Amino acid sequence: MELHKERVLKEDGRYLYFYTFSDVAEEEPEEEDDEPEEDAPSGDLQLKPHKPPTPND
Amino acid sequence: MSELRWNPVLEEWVITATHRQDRTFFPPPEYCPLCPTKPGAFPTEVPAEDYDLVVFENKFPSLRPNPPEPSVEGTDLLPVRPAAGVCEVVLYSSNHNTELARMPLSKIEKLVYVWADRFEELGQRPEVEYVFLFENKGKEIGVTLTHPHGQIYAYPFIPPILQRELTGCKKHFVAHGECLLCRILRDELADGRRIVAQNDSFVALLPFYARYPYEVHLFARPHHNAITDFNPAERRHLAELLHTIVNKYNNLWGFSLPYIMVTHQRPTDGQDYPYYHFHIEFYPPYRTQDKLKYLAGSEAGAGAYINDTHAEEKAQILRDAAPKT
Repeated sequence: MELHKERVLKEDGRYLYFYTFSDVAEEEPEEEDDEPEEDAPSGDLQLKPHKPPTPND
Repeated sequence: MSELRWNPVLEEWVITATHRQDRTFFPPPEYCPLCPTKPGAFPTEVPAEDYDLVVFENKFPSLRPNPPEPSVEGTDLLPVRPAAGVCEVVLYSSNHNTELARMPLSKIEKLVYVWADRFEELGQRPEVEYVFLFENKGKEIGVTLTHPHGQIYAYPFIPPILQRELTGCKKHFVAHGECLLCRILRDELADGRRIVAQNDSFVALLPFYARYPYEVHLFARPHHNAITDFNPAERRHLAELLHTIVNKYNNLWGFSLPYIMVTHQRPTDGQDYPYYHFHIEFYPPYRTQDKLKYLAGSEAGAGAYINDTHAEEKAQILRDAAPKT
């Protein structure tokens, strides 16, 4: 895998770097769905909507 | 605005960054500043309609290349310094609704290459003594932007936890002539009870001294000091094990598990650290499916962690979580 980067100076003086790659061995498609809770990760289970717990001891 | 204040009692620098109070806080998805800039829509941080991986300097940095003079005068006892350094944001994907666990392996491999490139470039800056690569994931950790991203802090000093690790590793190296983490890894592999997953170049384990119930460390098998030392095969293996661990975390209870992920590697202050060993640490804040581990009196006030669980038991649970290992 070979890395390439393009450095861009933003209007406010900060730098931004675009990274691209060549010679990628196996380029799998990235998951495109917009609803993560309805899609399975690479493992067996499906992710559920989750609400953080409240404080406890 | 931003400065370094010395604590002579703990012998550590504290970074003040008062401007960060105004940083973007949970914007609605259509106003995410980390998404690509869409035609006709508001300009985001990334002036492109799509991207693969992007790094940019944080808009609300704690450390900056040209820092302002401190807002207060220091003394011999309480010195103050400009907050020099760099804070960067690493965008993993243009897709707002994804995370490491859902990304293809090749994308995580690319991220490893970006980490190495940023470590090398930032580490060459004369004011930078330590390049710290990390990810805060989840609201429970304090994340204010949900778009998948990590961060990089290039400090003008060696942070205290890293300094303690360096001191401990050097002490063992001088006394025994071996790398402390190589020894720990060898002993853990021989014991086996705390191993979670492994491949040819990396081993994921819950350390004997885990502070969090599901704290996982990724040890490099070869004795490398920094991420730039890894060859292409080893970088691929690192990506594979990262992918395995974050998926195990998500499959533990069926929801996207928050965590802090940090890389520990050699400083970039020009000194040699042959006794130090690259590794990655994960700290998920959950101790059960619906209970958080808080850093309270003993942890925050005394630095003494209390772990309600045994690493051996939790390692078995993580081995059994998909993908099973």
